[in-house]
Amino acid sequence: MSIIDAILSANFLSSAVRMATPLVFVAMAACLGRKADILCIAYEGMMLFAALGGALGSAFTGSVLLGALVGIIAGMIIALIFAYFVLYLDTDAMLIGLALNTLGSCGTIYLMYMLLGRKSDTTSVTSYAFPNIHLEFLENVPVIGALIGDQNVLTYVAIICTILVFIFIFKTPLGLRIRSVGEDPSAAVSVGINVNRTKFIALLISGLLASFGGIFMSMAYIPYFTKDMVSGRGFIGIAACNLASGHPIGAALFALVFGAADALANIAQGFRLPYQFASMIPYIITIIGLCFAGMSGTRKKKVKAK
Amino acid sequence: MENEKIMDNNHDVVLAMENITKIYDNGFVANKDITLELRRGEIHGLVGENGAGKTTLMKVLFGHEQPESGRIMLNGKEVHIQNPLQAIDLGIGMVHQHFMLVDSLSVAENMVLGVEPRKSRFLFDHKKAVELTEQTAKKFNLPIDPEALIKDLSVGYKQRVEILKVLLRGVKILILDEPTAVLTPQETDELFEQLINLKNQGYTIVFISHKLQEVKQICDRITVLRLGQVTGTAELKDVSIHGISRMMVGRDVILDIEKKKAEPKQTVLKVRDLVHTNKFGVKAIDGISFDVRAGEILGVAGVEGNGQSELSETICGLLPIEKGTIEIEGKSIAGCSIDSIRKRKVSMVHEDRMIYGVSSNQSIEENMISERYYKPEYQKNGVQNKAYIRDEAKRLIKEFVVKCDGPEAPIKTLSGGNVQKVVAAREFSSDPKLLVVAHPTRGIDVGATDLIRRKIVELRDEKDTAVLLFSADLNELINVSDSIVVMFEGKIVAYFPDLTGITPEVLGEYMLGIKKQDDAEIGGVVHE
Amino acid sequence: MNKKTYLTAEQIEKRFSVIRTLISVAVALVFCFIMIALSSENLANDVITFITAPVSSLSRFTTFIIKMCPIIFTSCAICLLFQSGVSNLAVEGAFYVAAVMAAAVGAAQGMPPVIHFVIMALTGAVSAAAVLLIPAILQVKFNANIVVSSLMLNYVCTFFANYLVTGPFRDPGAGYEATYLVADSAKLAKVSLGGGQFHVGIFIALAAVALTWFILFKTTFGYQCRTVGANSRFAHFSGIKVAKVILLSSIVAGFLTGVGGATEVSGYYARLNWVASPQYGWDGIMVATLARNNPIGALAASAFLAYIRTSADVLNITSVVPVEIVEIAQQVIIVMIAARGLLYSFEKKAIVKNARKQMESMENHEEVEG
Repeated sequence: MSIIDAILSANFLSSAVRMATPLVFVAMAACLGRKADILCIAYEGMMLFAALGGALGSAFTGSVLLGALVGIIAGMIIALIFAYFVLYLDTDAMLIGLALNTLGSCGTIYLMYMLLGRKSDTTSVTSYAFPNIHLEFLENVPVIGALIGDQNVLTYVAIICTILVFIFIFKTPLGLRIRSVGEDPSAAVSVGINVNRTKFIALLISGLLASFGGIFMSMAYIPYFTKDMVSGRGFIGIAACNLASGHPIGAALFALVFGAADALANIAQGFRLPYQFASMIPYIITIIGLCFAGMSGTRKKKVKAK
Repeated sequence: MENEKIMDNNHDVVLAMENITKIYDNGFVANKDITLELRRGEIHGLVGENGAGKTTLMKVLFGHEQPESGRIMLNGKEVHIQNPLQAIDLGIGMVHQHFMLVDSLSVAENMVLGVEPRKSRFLFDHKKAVELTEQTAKKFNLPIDPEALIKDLSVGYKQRVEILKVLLRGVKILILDEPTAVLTPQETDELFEQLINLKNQGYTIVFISHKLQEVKQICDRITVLRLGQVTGTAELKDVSIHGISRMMVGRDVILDIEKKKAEPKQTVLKVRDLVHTNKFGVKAIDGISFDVRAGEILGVAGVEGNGQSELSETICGLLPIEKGTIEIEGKSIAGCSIDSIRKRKVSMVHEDRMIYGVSSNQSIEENMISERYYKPEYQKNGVQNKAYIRDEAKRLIKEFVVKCDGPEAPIKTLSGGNVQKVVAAREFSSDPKLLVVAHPTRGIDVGATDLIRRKIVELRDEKDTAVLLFSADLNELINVSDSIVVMFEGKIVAYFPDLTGITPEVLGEYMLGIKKQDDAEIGGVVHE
Repeated sequence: MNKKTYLTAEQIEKRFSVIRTLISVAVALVFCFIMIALSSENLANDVITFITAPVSSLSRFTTFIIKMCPIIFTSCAICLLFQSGVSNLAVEGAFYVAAVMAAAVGAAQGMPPVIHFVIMALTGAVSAAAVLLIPAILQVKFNANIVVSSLMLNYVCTFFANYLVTGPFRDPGAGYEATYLVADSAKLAKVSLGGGQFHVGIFIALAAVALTWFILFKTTFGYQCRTVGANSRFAHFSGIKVAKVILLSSIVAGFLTGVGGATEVSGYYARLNWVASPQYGWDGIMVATLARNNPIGALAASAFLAYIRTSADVLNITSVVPVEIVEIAQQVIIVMIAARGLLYSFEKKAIVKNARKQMESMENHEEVEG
């Protein structure tokens, strides 16, 4: 089978969508943060804690939904810490973002060790995962069937979230306010909007979305938590958002492209392409995208009023 | 004309600001015992130069600042305005000079920001927002497209949105801060129609401006501010433009510098047909030609916003040359970096000293060498000569009387006047052939002001420096300069080679566009 | 007349900075002790071990010195970058790539002893500089956000270095994924101390600190860097070429990082078996933040980090306390130091109170003298 055939196979398309799911969640989170004009790079940390929370939570409560709830709360606590320190304690967003990400890595290992006595993964307890759903009516539909006919519940949630985030940002009053505090805080202040409080809410919702990405990893992708399982997906989600200039639908599409790159890395080994180079692709594309974003930004600055 | 407190029994005074005094944290007295009375249904002009206190007074009225003393009476009752939201609730709305609009949102969305209509609790009722916008637009006869995005609108329409925004919120008193600064003549006419319309509907309008023709055209009464105080209140029908200009700029010339007569030599700076278009597409510099000679101080007078900032920044190399030529000692500076311009022995003092003049967290001595650190006396093979730097700094601190805790003290510990003295010490001490200096004494104490002015004259006399001096302080210009050009709307409208008999009043008439010299007189500033 | 000397606002700020550093470190250590208590089966023993481990035996002391080495290099690089206002975080990936390249060169046979190491160091330096230049050039030419692009580049570097270690540079003769043996001619001399030994790389690291300090505070280049970092528009208006500073500081930081990578490989490893980045870049950021971007302070902070790392390693062996407690403490330190608003209200009150006292005393003097 040539590599083209492999890419066009139903397996690959389905795999691409599955691998894109956590990226879509983070991309949505990043879009919200970007609309509020906050450079949040702490999504890795949020996702790791959410993933661990989900795996352990479901193991200890015996319920998938309760486990997911624990995971989401865990991720949102990280978001809360980030938001509070940046908005109310004048903290450098880059430094605290890096610190929270690293904390995600060592903190989850520590918690696993403390609760389970192992540092590598949570397989010593039984966690519960979200089920896959098979949509019969899509069985014979050509491309769409392969893409979304047979996916995990959370993947469908991701698709719905994309639409919800789009509606939230562009069709609700709160979304309107978030866009205004992000773009022109003085305009928002002049009509009595509390800038910090609005940004705080935006970050919390952002954390909620990122946490979904985290629980996908440990409750759908695989049914347990392993250390450092997020491996940069937090950043790829940010990249997808940047390439789409913060627009949720565009970001989701870029996330899908990156998911495909991930899937490509998996099958690449069979074709004698070192998987590392396939894994590099999303990051290299991001860097190139940043160049384009930077150039259009300089052009815009020359036109915007002082 | 004296400041009379008019006990208004016959007129319906809707708002009175009484004895307002506002002192900023650094001790600067922005408003001193100002009383302003607004009658219902009038357009009241608030007039004065930059720094006269107009903006501060309106910030107090709109709740952005709190006064040290004085009170505000609305419809006869005292009110306390702590923030803009309260001001709006009381019926006072402000249309800012720099628009408070979100570019990527539509007109309707900007209109209802903060008071968004909802359908079914979570969703934004876009239709209702559009309806409200159209209703308001119709009511005040200010047609606007509710779905248009702000970033696509012309400046005139953006302003209309700002006005509609406050009208939607039910204000009865509108403050317009320099509204015509960015409008074309046609847009200005449209605006004036709208304002008269509003006035006739019983709205009260405060029209802040220094454009006297417009003030004369549209206002019923004016209050004139100068140096933080009221210098006059009058009905427009009782006063001429000359009278207003006199109140604005004052008539006395304070002679405080002993100065020899200038002996200008060869041309150092040559500017020909310079053009610069700004971000609004307006020609900030519209074809300027002039020369500055060695041993001469050429002052540039003009109300701010008439192209002076762009001119000084272009000569310094911060802005590129769009059209025209600039030559220093016969060689063009087109495409030159700031570094290479400075190497031609040009010194520069930017009007924004905290941003371009110093770096607050570094020490005085580090700030003093920022343009010369590479010179042979200051370093050897890339290693800094700390002893020499320290000695030079000490010497300059002494020469410029900088009050500080020593050369290692960080700039942020110095008062404004001392910061500017550090800037002056650096820029004046490099034996410049050309010194471009913008607003050197803005916002600093008398002692520092005096010293800097004398140092400028010293440069002229002892080093034959050609000095290009931009200033909003007309006394400073008349005192320090040997000759003056006046800029208005990007062009030179007057040249005074000899300053005997020139008063701020005279300059004012050219600055405000009331008068213009003929080309032959203006051409006098071109010496080659 | 007795003249009371009052503090300047700047001195109060400096004092609060010290207070915040001490509080941050103290809070982090408290975190450590709590985490030790949670796992410990013999609290007293464990705490004592934690506090004294690195100095409890010569062998452990040498471990402490070895651990300090790479962190000193990366933190110096970060100090230089952050002082220049250049948030180029690719130091992390650059170190890994440089180490791998240096290991490859180090495996060459038949080279003269000292020269071999010098070539290793140069290889490392050039590799790391090349990596760090990428985000810098993209920032200067395309205005691409240097923080995000350098973070992305770290991932690219990690994959690339991993590929090299498991692919072209892999020694099939070794039993696991690692590069060829580093030749003896490339290895750094070792110093024996009691039961352990450390390599002379520590002296190279000390030289790096001195060099970084010298560059930053004694040279014209360092002056340019610090001025751009303090106020880039002022620097530009004074004629300093900001783009040049961004590029050069990235190159010099690259040299420091690369030499650090080569030193670590040559000093400590028989062969390089890193399949993932050793995270020294992130350690460097934490140390530089703690040291307020001063290289001398970074030396002390590196020692502090190496100290508690050694303690945690020893504790891990002698008891059941996991090594992650130190990494967690590191992040706490970063967050608390980066929080400028911490204690801000206290700081402001102190400044105002001091100013008021000064004013009152001046008024009193005037009254007496008047």
